[in-house]
Amino acid sequence: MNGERRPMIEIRELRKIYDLGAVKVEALAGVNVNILENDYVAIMGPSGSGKSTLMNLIGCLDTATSGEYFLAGERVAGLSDKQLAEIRNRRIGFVFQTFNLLPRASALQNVELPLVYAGESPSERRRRAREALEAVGLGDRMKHKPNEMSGGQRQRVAIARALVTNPAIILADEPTGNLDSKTGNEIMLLLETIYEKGNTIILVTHEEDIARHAHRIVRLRDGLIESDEVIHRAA
Amino acid sequence: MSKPHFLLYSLWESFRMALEALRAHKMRAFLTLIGVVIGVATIISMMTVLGGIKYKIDDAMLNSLGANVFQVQRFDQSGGIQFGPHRRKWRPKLKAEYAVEIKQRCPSVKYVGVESWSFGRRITRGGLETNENQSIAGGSVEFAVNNSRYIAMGRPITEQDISSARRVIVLGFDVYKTLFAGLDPAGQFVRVDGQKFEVVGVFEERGEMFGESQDTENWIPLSTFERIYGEKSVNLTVAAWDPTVYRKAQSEVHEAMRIIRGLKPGEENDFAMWTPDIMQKQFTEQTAIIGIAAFGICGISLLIAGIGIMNIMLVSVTERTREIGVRKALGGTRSSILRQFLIEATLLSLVGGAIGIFLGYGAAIFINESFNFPAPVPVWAVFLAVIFCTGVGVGFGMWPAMKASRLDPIEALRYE
Ligand SMILES: Nc1ncnc2c1ncn2[C@@H]1O[C@H](COP(=O)(O)OP(=O)(O)OP(=O)(O)O)[C@@H](O)[C@H]1O
Ligand SMILES: [Mg+2]
Repeated sequence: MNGERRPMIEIRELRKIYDLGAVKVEALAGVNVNILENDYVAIMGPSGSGKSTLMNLIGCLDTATSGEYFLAGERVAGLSDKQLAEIRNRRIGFVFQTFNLLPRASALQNVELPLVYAGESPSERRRRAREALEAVGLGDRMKHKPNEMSGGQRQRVAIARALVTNPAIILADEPTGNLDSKTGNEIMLLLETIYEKGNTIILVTHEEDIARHAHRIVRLRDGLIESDEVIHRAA
Repeated sequence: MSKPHFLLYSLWESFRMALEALRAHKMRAFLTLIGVVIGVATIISMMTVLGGIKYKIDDAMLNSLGANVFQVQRFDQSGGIQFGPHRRKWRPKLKAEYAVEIKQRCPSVKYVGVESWSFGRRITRGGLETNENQSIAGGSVEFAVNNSRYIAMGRPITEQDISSARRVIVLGFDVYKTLFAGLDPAGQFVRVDGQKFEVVGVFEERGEMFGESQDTENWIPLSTFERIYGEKSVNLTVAAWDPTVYRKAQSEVHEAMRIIRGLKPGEENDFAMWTPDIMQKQFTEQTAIIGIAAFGICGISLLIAGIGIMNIMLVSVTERTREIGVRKALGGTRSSILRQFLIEATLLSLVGGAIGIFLGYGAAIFINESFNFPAPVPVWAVFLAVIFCTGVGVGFGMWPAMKASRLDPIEALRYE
């Protein structure tokens, strides 16, 4: 299936400069990268190298200072706030290091949230949110609030939430950063099954063990790509 | 993929989320609401009470003057509420003789009654006495009819009583209750200002209005009155023949009075026409002032409430910065965030409004019961309250909501 895969993300000379008045921080200094449909990429690099900045740009949460970014062939720079919101809603699923669940809402309500913004009817929302929670093995925790769940369970809820609108791309910025290694591995196995269903996965991590779950490792340093290698995983 | 119900779903969703946010901070929400509650309760209860007062006054207007009757008095009615020092120009007294002259000059007039008043008197009998709150009316024979008073016991004052200036009195129900307490007063004697009077009758009971007894008026012959109290300025009570000439009678009397008083054209009246129309208008003006005051209180409390709501919403936006970031990351648009916070602010305000309507309604019922008003809570006041609250919610929630909607998603997500 490698042969006919289309490019999902095309990035040309992408720069992000934070202007702090006295100093200008160049978080991305001209990044070029292509990511194909159903790729599984791990982004690595030292702290402050620009990993999160790159993820935020890919996720349309932020806009670049210069350079080009095409998402499934579409130039992102020219899109309105509303169109960006729609892309985040339909095409991208975010998984955060700190889970970022709404504390007062149940697991089910948290997972329903993207569908609210997609304009789905309440019954449809509930049905799909249930499905997504069952897919991550939380069929019996639907009514639980985040503070009634373990870290691993919370991250599963977050993954269910990322999956529920069927987005093509899953962006995970250090998804195992707040989890112990056993729970982290379970989360990685979950991402594996998502990948196998055809999603494109981009993952930021500090840990080589975690990165090895991916098929490709992009290393950043000082806002530039230092290396980009396809890895062959042990079966 | 068209979603026809998108707005509806997202409105409902915003509403549900707003409810949840309020539930999470019940105490805080409640404290914020006090201003709205006071404002709305004030407007609802005041409007109800004003409705009741108006009803009572209309009713009193109809009852206090007999049918087709109006009065000529020396001075205009002075309102219950006056702004600034109230000065009135000196005017000559109205004399009892005017009655005859008016009757002659005005074909639409059936008769002209005369009454003269002394207020704040005490009536005694043996060791018993009333408060110093009794009114003594020296009246012509028309007094009872003109004032819509009925004789419950005994007889009214007659022409003979007047022509021979007899010391007879028709008691108000208050005096009867205090001095006789169920006994037959006919032929008994009471003292007014040291003068001895024989009781010939008792007026029917009228009860209270605004907590004040309406049964403190006592009637003696005009001639007797003038011997004791001197020739005071009198009130002339004019009755028209029938309703069709009622207004005509008023203009005839107006003209006759100007002639009697010797007024030149263009000169100001030095007497006052007390018609139900004019009295009602004056009462209406007074109640309007109360109404404006109520709106003032309401406006100030709603302003304070609005600032409270704005404050609480700003706190809420700051507290939920991260939530806003999450919502944006999951596809929330600026307008959906704006809408959510606006709905929350409006809901907050409306909950206060609902409590206010409830309390105002309770207060209105209480007041109505204690003053015996028949007035219901006016529907328009409830509508107005709801509209005000929505306005306050949207108006004062706008800035915090805009602040929320404009948050940068990444900054928001990074917020600790
Ligand atoms: N909002 C901001 N304002 C100013 N500078 C910023 C901002 N966000 C990031 N930076 C700077 O940009 C650079 C890249 O930051 P970024 O968060 O992308 O690093 P990272 O690779 O994700 O690091 P870490 O591994 O610690 O998460 C850093 O030098 C950081 O200080
Ligand atoms: Mg980072």
